[in-house]
Amino acid sequence: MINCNKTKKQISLYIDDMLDCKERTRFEHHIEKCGLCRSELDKLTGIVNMCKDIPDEDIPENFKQQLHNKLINLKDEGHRKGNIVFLRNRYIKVCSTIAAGILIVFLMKTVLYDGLELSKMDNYLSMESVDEASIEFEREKKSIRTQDDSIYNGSNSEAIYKSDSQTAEEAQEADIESGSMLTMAGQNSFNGNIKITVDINEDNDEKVDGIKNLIVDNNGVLEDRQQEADINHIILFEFIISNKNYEGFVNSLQEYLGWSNVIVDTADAVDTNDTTKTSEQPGNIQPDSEYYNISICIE
Amino acid sequence: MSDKEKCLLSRCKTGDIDAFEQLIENHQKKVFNLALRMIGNHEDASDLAQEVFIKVYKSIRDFKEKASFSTWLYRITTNVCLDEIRKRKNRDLVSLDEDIKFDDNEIRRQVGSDEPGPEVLVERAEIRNVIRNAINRMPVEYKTVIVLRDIQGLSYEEIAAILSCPKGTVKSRINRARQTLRGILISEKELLNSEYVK
Repeated sequence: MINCNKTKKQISLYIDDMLDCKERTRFEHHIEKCGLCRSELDKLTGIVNMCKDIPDEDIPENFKQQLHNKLINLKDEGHRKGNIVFLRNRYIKVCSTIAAGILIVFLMKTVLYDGLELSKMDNYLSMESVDEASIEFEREKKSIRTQDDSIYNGSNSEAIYKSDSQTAEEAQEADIESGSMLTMAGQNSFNGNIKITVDINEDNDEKVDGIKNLIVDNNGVLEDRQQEADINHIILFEFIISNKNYEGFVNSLQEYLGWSNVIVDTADAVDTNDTTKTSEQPGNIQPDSEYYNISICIE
Repeated sequence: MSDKEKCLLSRCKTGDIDAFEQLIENHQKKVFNLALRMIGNHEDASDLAQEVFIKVYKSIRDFKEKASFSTWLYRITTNVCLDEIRKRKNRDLVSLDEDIKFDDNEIRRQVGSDEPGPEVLVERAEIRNVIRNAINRMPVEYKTVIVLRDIQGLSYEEIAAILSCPKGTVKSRINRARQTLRGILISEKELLNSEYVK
């Protein structure tokens, strides 16, 4: 009985030749003796043979063509999606590249600009000609550095004297930003603004007004101070003009007064004996590349 | 895998349709017949077989060449067919009662498959029809191993790989499936013929 149960479980394995030698011998030995198991074996063997006898059927006639069409459609769809993804990815890449480029330009501009201003600041700080009066001037809003009037021969008027070459705030602004030079440097104040002192050796109200108008026309900012002519008929006043407008102003001035009457000198401007502060006199200014002196001779 | 198949496979992975069609050329009939024996009618079998090849084309890049391509193909085919059978069961369009009793007088009749048009009835052809109908009435797990082993002729190892189950499970399942089929056949018709006995 036990043998029959075990034998029935092994019928398929025997049919499929999956029994090892020992099991096959035992199985065959039992089959010879047991009619029920032998009948079961015969029936299952018949069913397996009937199944094996079922032939494969041919694929339908249009099967290959239909499959081919589906594959083509699939590939085309894949290309379209791929193109969309490609275009989308490319769009993203292009936008990212542009954004990165803009960012780089902005950073470079900021760094270089700040670096330039800082370098100017460093140059300024390192210069011996920097005087406290100019720093003080820069710190005050349209402040006036008072000096002895020795320059202008006893005039009680405040003398406007520029001895340093520090660049000022933007000429476009009506008010000069207050703050220390360092602060100004930190605020990008070294942006090409130039202080120009105009010496006029003749008292000529019309001409003086004309010059002032030219200053204003070229976006220069006149300082409030103006030293009236002394016995030498020198009128000295300062204004702030941006670097980019300076050339236009000079050209306008030369056209207005005549080329030979306008002498532009970037060095040895107003003489001064002292680069320190409140007692500067014309002729003693240390020359500085960012100080412009325009001497005007008016006949 | 032969060198030719490897070459075709490489081209297939680039989306080469021509290479793909060459690769599956020798497998189309087998896949179709597997689907036919599983689903029971030609139209559905054709659709399922094409679905199989579309799936294979889409996932050809994932095929690891360590395994047999035919085993991988049969696995996809079996799964597609099993999915379809389960869908049909859930739709309740047909009722597939899987309670099969081995008592000759109490085998429940299951819904038969669609058959193609009239065909010449000869004894063997009639027997084949009986067999097919009986297989269609089997529980899906038993039907699968009968189709893979006794109709498709795959080895126990291949069946274990296709079904992702242990070989021991395959052995016992095949034995029970054959006994189930025998029970169905006995209830339908007296089929055993000495001609088919070894």
